[in-house]
Amino acid sequence: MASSSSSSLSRVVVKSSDNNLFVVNKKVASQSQLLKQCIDNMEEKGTNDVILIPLSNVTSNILTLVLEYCEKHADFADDDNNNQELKQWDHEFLKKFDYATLNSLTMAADYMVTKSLLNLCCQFIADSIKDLTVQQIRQIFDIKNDFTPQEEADIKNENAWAFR
Amino acid sequence: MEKPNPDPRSASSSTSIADVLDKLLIEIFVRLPSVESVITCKLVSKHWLSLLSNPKFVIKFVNHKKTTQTQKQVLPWTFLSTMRLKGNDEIDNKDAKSLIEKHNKVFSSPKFSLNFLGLERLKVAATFKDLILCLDISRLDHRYYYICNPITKHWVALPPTPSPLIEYDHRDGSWAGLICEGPYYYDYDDDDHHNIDDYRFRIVVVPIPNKRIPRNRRYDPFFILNMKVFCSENCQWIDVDLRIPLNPGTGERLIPFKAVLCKGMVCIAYYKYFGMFNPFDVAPTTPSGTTLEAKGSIPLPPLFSKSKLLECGGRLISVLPNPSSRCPCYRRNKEGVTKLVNIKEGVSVSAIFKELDLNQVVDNHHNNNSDDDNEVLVSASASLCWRRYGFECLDKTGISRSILSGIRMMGIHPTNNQLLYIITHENKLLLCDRASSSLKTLGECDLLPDHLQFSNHRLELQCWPTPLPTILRSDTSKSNDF
Repeated sequence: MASSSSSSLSRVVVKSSDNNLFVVNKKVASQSQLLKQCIDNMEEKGTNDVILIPLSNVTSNILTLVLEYCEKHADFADDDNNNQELKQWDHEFLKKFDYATLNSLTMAADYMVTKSLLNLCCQFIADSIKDLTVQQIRQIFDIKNDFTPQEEADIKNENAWAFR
Repeated sequence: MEKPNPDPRSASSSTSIADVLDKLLIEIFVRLPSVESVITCKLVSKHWLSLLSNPKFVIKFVNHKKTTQTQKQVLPWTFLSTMRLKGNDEIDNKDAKSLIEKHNKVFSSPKFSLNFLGLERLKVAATFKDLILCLDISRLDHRYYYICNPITKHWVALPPTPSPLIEYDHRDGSWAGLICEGPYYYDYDDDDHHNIDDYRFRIVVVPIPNKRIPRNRRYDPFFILNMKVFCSENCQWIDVDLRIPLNPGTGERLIPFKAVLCKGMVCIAYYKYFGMFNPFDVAPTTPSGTTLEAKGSIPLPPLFSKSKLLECGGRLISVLPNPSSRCPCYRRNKEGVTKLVNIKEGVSVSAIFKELDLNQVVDNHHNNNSDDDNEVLVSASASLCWRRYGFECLDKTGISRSILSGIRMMGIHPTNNQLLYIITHENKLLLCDRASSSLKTLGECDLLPDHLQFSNHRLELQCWPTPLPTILRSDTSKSNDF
């Protein structure tokens, strides 16, 4: 049963939150555990219909990026993970985005359970904020300083060793 | 078209967007390269502060570093030499600084002092990871020990040892060891489990025996060594006698007192005696005056008396320093001589190591958990022997031949037994790399006064500064830790 239906399911349709449809190759979709789970579930039920998977949390520009990543990684799926070319591509891929896009991409990767993309984004953000000042980090994440000057001084004092 | 439910989580709508964001923020925070950048993030907002102050974050951070750092990436570490009392008794680790591994710099290299302890005169008695056990040597009535973390400058004072104690000697009157079980970086699911800083520790203080054993007398089968063990659980010093067995191997009569920590075992050699014991065998309930048996009767290698006893990754390593003019009978180059040699092309260091790997034995010993621990270790130690290997490192960089004046101090890398560090009498710091047979000058140390005795301690910085044990905080008033 599963074998006969799997051939009919070489593609799935993914719908973004702003109602755009994306036709995705099954191998590409499998990069996302969420999509893979949906496909597996439907295959178990033995449906021969085309699957439509609505993603209520992902806009089409972000979904395009996630799918671009999945496509690239599906190509390398059989290689070992330490492929230098892929690593280089990953880096170039993320370098293009501003923080807002990166944050949305991270959330989408989490929502769609694409672990390698999630790791990649988190590491990329961590690496880029590691040398920034508190002010700069607040700006990037659009966070308002809610400490009183006294509280701020207390934390600095408590962790004085880190501010050499 | 059939529409599957895309999100298995949507059934339980308890995970709000804010929770998801927090989860992702934590994922980003654990990937920050250093504690310093984590602290910077603490200052961003109250919300970030609360996320980063959660002990579970520390656990996650440490474990993430453990799983992603490869074996080769060793955290910065340094040698501290004790008895460096100058000016305000500041411990200046300038000489040690050059030993800090340059790569993977988690901490900015600290030129630290121990002034924050506010002690007039102090001595570094022992180290454990990045914790230092300090002894206040301005007070002679009792012994006042302090445990501090020089990175965070947090410290706790231990209750003084009961008087009267070990006779005091300003030079090297006693050997001390600090052995901690924690901190615990286990990821517990339930919230009410251990805190990372809720760990047991022991301090072992052994007065270096100065009683001379007459030359021609018959040796007792055991040497009794009196020592003090501090138990963290009840905050008490306990008097214990240690029975160290006569060593079957060595023909040497006069092994000076040597002690080193290896795999949590205190290994002690003295005269013809050698044994190891687990300080956690002393329990809070152990009555004062109890006699413990030191375990293991592994034959000591020849010329052990002249060797430097080091520890590296659970292995005891015995290296012979440069032959001195004081022992003319010395067999040069035959048995484990580390010497600087002037050869035609330049300078070389040759050494023969004797290595005793305790890893398996001690792990078995802990796993077996049998009632007769002694039996297990003794039987296992029967198969133990000192492995001997030699190497020669040749200088290719044109080191001045004046370094041939001799070796003053030796140390070994915390985990890599291929790397031997030597400080020469001219205060040059050399690195001998057995893997590449190369000799490198790492730098120059401060001029060390000749009349002081040296014992060097290894301070290994951690990816998160080791928190001080909590156990003492309620018992001692003199603590600044929060």
